[in-house]
Amino acid sequence: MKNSSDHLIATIAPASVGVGLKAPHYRQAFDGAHSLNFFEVHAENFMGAGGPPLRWLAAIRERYPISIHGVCLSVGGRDPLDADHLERFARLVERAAPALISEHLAWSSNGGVFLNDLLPPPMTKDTLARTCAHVDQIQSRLGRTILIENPSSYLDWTCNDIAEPDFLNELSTRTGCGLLLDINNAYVSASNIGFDADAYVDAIDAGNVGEIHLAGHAIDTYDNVTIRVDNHGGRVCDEVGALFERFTRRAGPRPTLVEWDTDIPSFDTLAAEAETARDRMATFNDEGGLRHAAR
Amino acid sequence: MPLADSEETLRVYEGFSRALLSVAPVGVLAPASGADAKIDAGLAVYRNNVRAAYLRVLGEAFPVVARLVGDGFFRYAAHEYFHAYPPRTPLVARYGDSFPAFLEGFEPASGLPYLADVARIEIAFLEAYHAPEATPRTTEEISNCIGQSPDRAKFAFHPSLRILSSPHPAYSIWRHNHDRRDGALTPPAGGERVLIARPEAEVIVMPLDIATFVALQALAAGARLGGAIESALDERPSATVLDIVNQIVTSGVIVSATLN
Amino acid sequence: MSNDKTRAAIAIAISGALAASVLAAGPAAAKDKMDKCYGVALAGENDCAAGPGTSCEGTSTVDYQGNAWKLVPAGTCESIELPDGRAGSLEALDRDLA
Repeated sequence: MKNSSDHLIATIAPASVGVGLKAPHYRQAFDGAHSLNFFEVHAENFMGAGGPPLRWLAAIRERYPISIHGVCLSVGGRDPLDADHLERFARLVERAAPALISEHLAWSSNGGVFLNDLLPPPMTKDTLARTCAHVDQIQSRLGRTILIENPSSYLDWTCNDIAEPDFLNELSTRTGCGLLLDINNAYVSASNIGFDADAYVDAIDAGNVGEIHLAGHAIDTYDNVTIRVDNHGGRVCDEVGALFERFTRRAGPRPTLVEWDTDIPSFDTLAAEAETARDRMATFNDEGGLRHAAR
Repeated sequence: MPLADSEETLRVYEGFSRALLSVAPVGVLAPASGADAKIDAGLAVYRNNVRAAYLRVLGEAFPVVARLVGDGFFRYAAHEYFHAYPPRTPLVARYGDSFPAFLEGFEPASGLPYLADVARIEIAFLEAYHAPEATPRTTEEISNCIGQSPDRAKFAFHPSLRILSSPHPAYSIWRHNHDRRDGALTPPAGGERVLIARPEAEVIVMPLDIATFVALQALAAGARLGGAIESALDERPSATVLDIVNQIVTSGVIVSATLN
Repeated sequence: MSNDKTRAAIAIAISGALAASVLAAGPAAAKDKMDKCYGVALAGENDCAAGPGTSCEGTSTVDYQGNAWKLVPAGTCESIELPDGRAGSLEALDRDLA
């Protein structure tokens, strides 16, 4: 793969749609018999030294803009950022010259033990300050801004004293990072924690949102408690679609990505889901206060 | 500059990560708010996420071990491994690095003495898959470089190359299950040796006779080809130089050949 | 067996073997071009999705010790017959040669 210095970094137009790139779909993504505009990859799956994953990524990025989505930096964690991991991340960014880079408002390690889940941090002033420091550290290492995604939650902390949208807006203001608004996460969290999803989405500073995520989720029950599980295992439900339209009506289109990570469907089914998102977005194509879309 | 945390913030990170790794009922999860039943349900999702992710990853890293022992036993072994070795790496692809050693000491699998070595083949496969790129030399290129005095040749190998030796027929067992062959298997008596590498885009796994294994081992340690072949013939006098040289130079694992 | 005579014999044999290998190395078998260039992608990836809900893995209800049947390997190992029935310790044999 060539260095970013050899390439202009491709940009992703606001009304673009893409899908999370899964190993079984590399070939069809590359073949180009689809109208998707970009692909997003999980950074951690391309951190080997060589081999098929990097070979495919190099080929696909010659044809389509790439978004790199980190899942392991534990940006919202108490531990200092894992310096080795940040270096691996930076090397991948240099190799792939992605159009977008994102991570999560979440923690996944504590005291050196890695938990491989995206856990919601406490929404407190001390966490906000530390998360800002982590985002600053990442952005200064990469030499560019990143997007931070809102988490999906199954628990709420007693110590939370900042509303999550305010926390995200403030993080964006202080660090200059953009936001990746995951509409499904907002919907899942709202249902599990018991807040108003519309109000949450309305409270996000639209001008800072550089990308949208959509996904399916599952409904499970545990001892008579209904819980929505963010399993990325199916189609985007109508309620999440409506919430997406609500945001787009206010903010205008953003690069929009469909994630489908478990029970992975055929490439065509996944691409069709992204085209459905494009149709939803098209309704509002000319409206909204777009300031921050393709970064 | 460390940032001081309030006691409550600290309790989320410390208390919750402890609760996640444990399987005991929590009673009260202090930092969580809401009705007890909702907290229990939320914690169940998180606990499940953490374990399911690693179980999936181990199953994907060790498909042959999983096929050998069956799903139920594999889940059990993975569950025990998770609690014995809480993951410390953010790269899930590396999580199983110590799984072969764990299996070796895993009493319920002691009836399958070859299992750990089969797992070692699977780890070597993954390492080769992710190894750096390098350009293998063709047989002709190698011959051009060393043809004048090939017994003095020294080789540098592809970074993906791994060779393993097992006192068990680990290769035959791996191959039978990797290819998803049906039916009974009566592997050859004695140990087996195997070469694993990714000279191009695909990982190759091939058995090595003991003479070629010894020669490759010597070459990898810096010996010249003549000396390596001598060691190989000492180990297995019935081996032929033709076979050994042919296997080494045509396997696609040599990236440079010199007479210096 | 290392004396000059065997060394010389080995050197001659190596020359012959190398020449034979060059002659024998025909064109590689035709393969799917894409797979040859890029390889077949494996699973085993990080992702950011949740697992299968609330059931099973993470809950305190999983008690393997209570499920005796799970303690017995029950896959294809049942159809493997080791000729000499050897058991015994395994050495650490994995070597990185690069």
